Amino acid sequence: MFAAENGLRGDPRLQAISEAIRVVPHFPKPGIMFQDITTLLLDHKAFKHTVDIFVDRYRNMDISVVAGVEARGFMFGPSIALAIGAKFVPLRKPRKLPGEVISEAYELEYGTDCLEMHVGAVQPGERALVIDDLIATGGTLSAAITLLERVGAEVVECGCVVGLPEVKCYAVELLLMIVTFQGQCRLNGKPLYILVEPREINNCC
Amino acid sequence: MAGILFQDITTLLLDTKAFKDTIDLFVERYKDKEISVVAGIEARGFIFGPPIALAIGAKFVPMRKPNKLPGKVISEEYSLEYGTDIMEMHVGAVEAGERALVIDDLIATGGTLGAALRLLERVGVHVVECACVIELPGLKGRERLGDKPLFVLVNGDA
Repeated sequence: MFAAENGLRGDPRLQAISEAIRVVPHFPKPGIMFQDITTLLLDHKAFKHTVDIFVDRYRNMDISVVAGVEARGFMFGPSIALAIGAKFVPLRKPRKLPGEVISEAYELEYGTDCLEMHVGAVQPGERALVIDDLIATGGTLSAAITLLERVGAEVVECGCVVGLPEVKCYAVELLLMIVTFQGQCRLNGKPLYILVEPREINNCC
Repeated sequence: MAGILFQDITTLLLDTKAFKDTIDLFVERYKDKEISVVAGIEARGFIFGPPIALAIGAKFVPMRKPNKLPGKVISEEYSLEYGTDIMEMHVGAVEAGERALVIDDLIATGGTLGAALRLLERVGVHVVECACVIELPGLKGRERLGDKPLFVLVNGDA
């Protein structure tokens, strides 16, 4: 589930990626240590490493669809799609996509939200990847998986730059995330691939 | 770009060759212009900007709606057809003297591009050009960019 346990242990690129992510305390509200990937996007080398790691993993998996979750999934998904020869499908907040869409609701801490995808963007039988910058509760990613499966696509994996370590998966969301016997974290039965863990504080200054 | 008649760029993204050609056209134009910043406007500018930035060795800076960027930001207000909106950029994302490109999928009235331009210029960045996949010429967006050049790939119907 984590890149370091999946063939990239000791890969210096992972450390560069982790260190390029800025931690912003108490955003959007007190108690949350926000993992800000915009600083990763300012570091051309680290940003390139991020895309390269995903591309190396997915290029030979016959993936024809990269679905990116609005808005930070848009920052990573298209580059991966271009490199592996897949189409890019944006998964958006309500009423952003023109034309016919299908919608999937998901839970927020307070209330619900909705994710939409264009009808006809994805064909039955296509193999898809879902990309977002970060996984926390897994609510949006779970909705993304459901949207793709509803149109008959096969979700091969969800890829995120930052995510909770597997030891916390089981505790956080028993309904959505199930730690398998091998300790691999899955979301709706789909494997998760995560580059780095969240940090508590910034390494420097 | 023969045969493309759309204003919804999502269909472009489904055509792997056309999407790649789009990015390649921008990269060809900008790769030797010493551009260190590609600023992309939320949200469809986030689709085109990062691949261009990666290919030309520049950083990518997201220009966002209010309250999305964590930490310190600077804000610029701009007019909508009815009312105003605000665009934000992170403090410290760019430095005075850097050369920048501003990217969005489409230019209509030019409100958001104009705001992005002003944000970058306020911190001393030189915006080399604004670039869009599509222009809707009837909405006169170019005029809101002042003397800043605009490069587009396709003209759409207004």
